[in-house]
Amino acid sequence: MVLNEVAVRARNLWIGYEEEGEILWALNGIDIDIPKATAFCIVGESGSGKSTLGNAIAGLLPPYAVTKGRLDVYNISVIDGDKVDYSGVRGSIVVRIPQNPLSALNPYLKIESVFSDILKQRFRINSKVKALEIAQKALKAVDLPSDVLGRYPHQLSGGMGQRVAIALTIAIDPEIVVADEPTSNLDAYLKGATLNLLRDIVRKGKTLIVITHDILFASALCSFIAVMLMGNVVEIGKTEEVLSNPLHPYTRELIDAANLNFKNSKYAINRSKTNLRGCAYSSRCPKHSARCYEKPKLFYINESHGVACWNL
Amino acid sequence: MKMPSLNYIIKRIATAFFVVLGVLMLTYVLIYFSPGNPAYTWAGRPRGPKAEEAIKAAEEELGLNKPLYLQIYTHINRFFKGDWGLSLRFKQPVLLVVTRNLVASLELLVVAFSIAIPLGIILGVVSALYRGYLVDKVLYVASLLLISFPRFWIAILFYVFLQMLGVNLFGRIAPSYMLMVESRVGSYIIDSLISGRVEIFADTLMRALPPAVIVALYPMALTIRVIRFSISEKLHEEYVRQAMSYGLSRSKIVYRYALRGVIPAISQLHGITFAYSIVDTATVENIFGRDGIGSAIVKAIPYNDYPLIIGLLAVSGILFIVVNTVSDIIQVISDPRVRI
Amino acid sequence: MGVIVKSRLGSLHNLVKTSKKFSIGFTIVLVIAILSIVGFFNSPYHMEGWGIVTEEAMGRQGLAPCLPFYCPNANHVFGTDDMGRDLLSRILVGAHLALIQTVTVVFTSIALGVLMGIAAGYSNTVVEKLSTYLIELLIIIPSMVLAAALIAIIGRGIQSVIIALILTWSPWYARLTYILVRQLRELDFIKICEAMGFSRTYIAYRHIVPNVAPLIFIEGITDSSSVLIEIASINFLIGAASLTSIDLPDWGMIVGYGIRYVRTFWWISFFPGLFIALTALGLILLGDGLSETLSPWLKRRWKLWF
Ligand SMILES: Nc1ncnc2c1ncn2[C@@H]1O[C@H](COP(=O)(O)OP(=O)(O)O)[C@@H](O)[C@H]1O
Ligand SMILES: [Mg+2]
Repeated sequence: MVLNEVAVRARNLWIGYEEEGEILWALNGIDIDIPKATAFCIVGESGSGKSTLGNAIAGLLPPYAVTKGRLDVYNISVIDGDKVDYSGVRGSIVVRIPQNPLSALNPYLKIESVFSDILKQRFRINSKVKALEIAQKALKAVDLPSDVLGRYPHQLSGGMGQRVAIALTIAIDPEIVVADEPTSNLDAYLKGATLNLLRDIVRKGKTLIVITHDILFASALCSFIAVMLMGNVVEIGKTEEVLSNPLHPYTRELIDAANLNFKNSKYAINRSKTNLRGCAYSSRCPKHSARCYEKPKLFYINESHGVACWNL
Repeated sequence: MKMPSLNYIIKRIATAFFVVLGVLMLTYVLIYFSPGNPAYTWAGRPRGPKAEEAIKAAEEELGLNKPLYLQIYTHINRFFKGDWGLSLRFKQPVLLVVTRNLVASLELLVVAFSIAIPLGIILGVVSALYRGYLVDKVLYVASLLLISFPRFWIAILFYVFLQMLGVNLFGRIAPSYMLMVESRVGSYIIDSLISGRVEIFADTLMRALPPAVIVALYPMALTIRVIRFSISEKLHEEYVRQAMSYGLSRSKIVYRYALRGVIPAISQLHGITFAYSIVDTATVENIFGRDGIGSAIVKAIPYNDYPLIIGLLAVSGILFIVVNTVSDIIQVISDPRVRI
Repeated sequence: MGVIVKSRLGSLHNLVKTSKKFSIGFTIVLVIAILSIVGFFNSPYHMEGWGIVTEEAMGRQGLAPCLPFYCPNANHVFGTDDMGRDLLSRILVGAHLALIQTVTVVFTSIALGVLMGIAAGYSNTVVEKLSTYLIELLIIIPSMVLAAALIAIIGRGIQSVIIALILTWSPWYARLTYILVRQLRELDFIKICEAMGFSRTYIAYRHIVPNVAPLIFIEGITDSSSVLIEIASINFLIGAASLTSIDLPDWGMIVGYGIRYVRTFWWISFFPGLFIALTALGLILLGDGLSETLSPWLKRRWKLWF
């Protein structure tokens, strides 16, 4: 992909979690470029490493995470080998919208304290009044009454919580917003409302990275899409291209599943262990061949559409 | 911070009151069902020529010829009137002996907890923030030893050590000062302060500090362990991670997010450790030659001073209820999710 | 819940292998247990260990400055007590008392507590109200004063201390069980059993106890060092109160009796206290090791990353 304006760039990025001395790799050498000022969706089944990638971008990897390779956010190197440094990035350039907004708010603080704590620090202001002014503007943008400020998180509904989380993000005004499964806990109506709020963020020229397992939601929101499988990106490209011309058998499987078309594939419930060497999909691939024991690299058929598969 | 409703407070106090009644009933039931004659127990298992007489008097006092419920009623009634009987060992009213010793023990406990809680919280936070580093390891081992070493043993070592240095801190007050302070509260520390005798105040505080430090060891070590554990646990919570994502500073996250969530646990902890600390106070008092509940028990045991022991049981039971009620209310106030 | 505990802990062998704390604690406790068995049958001056003032003991005359006691020396590594009895023998013989008292209190309290907790959490509301009241009541009774009362009633001896501790420790396990049972009884598998018409007693025996007991048991092991120290503290008071020399070789009593001599003859209180401290340390390491194995994240390499 040739792009001048890159918000996030990963090069051979490996991220694993240390479990009782063993390292469990969640990302197996990922190369990805996320363009600025677009909505970029990452789709894939659960456990494929989407959240890990999202957390790596947002700077939320746990302390026992192990890293290899490079990750740049806005041309600032945040991961370089085992060096991890998010200072000046987290909370100013990139902010994450949580999956479950209610458990992501401090239960002991009123919403106004959450806002004022964060905004005072973000904009280096001392007065609470000024911080709350910004908060009120942000709440208006997401259609919440300002009396929400006086409430505790447990007094909010799920939809309100989601909008508070988005309002916080708007108030912080970062360049990149990472939303991890922003709609998985919401009903269809709230899903639509959230979709609109997220579109507003992109409209303001921000980069939006949405993690979802819902390919329909992704197609409605994003202009780029990346499909992940067992810690690898298997297909990437403009949303229309990927959806109209899916090249990877796994992408096809996902699209079929979203269309409730289950004729052509055998859905494997039991997934084999991550295959670090070969193609992640090989064990259930209909076109499986001997080359699949070697890991395929992303191969670009045009300047934006790439696929990692030997059997095109 | 929110205020608990009046309803909740009344309910809590009513519960406490019923538990107090239960304790009083229990103390009577203990006498009543004791093997042999209850009057014999109440009279302190007397032997010798005057035994007969003492047992007669005790029978009268307890009203053993009346039905049991009346006896219990009389017992509780007398308790609330302040007529707790006569201590066999001290030949004084039990109420007097108990208050005197209770104040002495409280003096020690208050100083001990004022050391233990702040210090425990600070060291616990340090330990959690530097988890796995040398400071943390040292604090972990230290708190482990402080919890597992009997405080009376540490007190003995400390006492002998002070002796070797030539420091004598036996008792609550220098004997020469004893008659120089007018007793108002019964605590020499407070009384001397009220009457403005700075040199006596300094002396009594100096004598209270070493035993108080030893009583403080256990609650302090537990606080360190609990804070270290719960802060690490809280730092795994989604809301702390999210706060990081919003760019909150490290100190804000630790103090306002993680530590704030630990307050209910700490409050509950000290409601419980208080019970242990009373036992520690009792042993330490005996080593440092101070008055107090523990000393009173040690003096009561050889005389089978049953009225005194019952008085101590009732009073320390009530003390626990008070402490636990306060700790419950703090827990409720400090957690907005609990509806009251 | 119970199953998770079992599968996490695996075998004893595994525990010793994976948790350093557990293996240190286990070693200490094992050594004390072996000493207690050996000491029960044999010790250097066995009769003196059991509290008998032998003629040999009476004839011992210490040298200045230890007069009239024996300082620790080659024959009596821990010295002798005020009756001339060899302290090492008394500590060895007394080891079984410390362990028996602790084990009795912990296990009886757990059994009673689980019973009380299930009665409170899994029967009708009247029993629930009564049991929770009883739990609240017993929880606030101070063990030390209760022990003193029992001593006045049934006489001096470790049974008073043991009963007092059981009465004051079991409500803690009852409360914990009650909390667990209240969570359990809302779960589907219990509800299904009830709908199928199994009796409550059967469900309690078959499903609730197996789920609650392991957790309470872990709690009990964690608490056992506190129990040991509480027992020792109360025995300390009894020892301190005693007007005549203590015959029963209980560690706490020896320490307590010894404080009247502590300014000069420190070893009488020091050495038994040291053994209490060691045993308690072993027990607490055991408990810490267990709970770390149960919540593995406690062991994680941890540095603040923000
Ligand atoms: N905090 C963590 N600690 C240990 N392992 C984790 C952690 N988070 C994720 N993993 C593991 O990493 C893999 C990828 O998980 P994740 O990134 O959450 O995938 P997704 O979001 O696509 O469901 C999974 O196998 C998961 O078990
Ligand atoms: Mg996820």
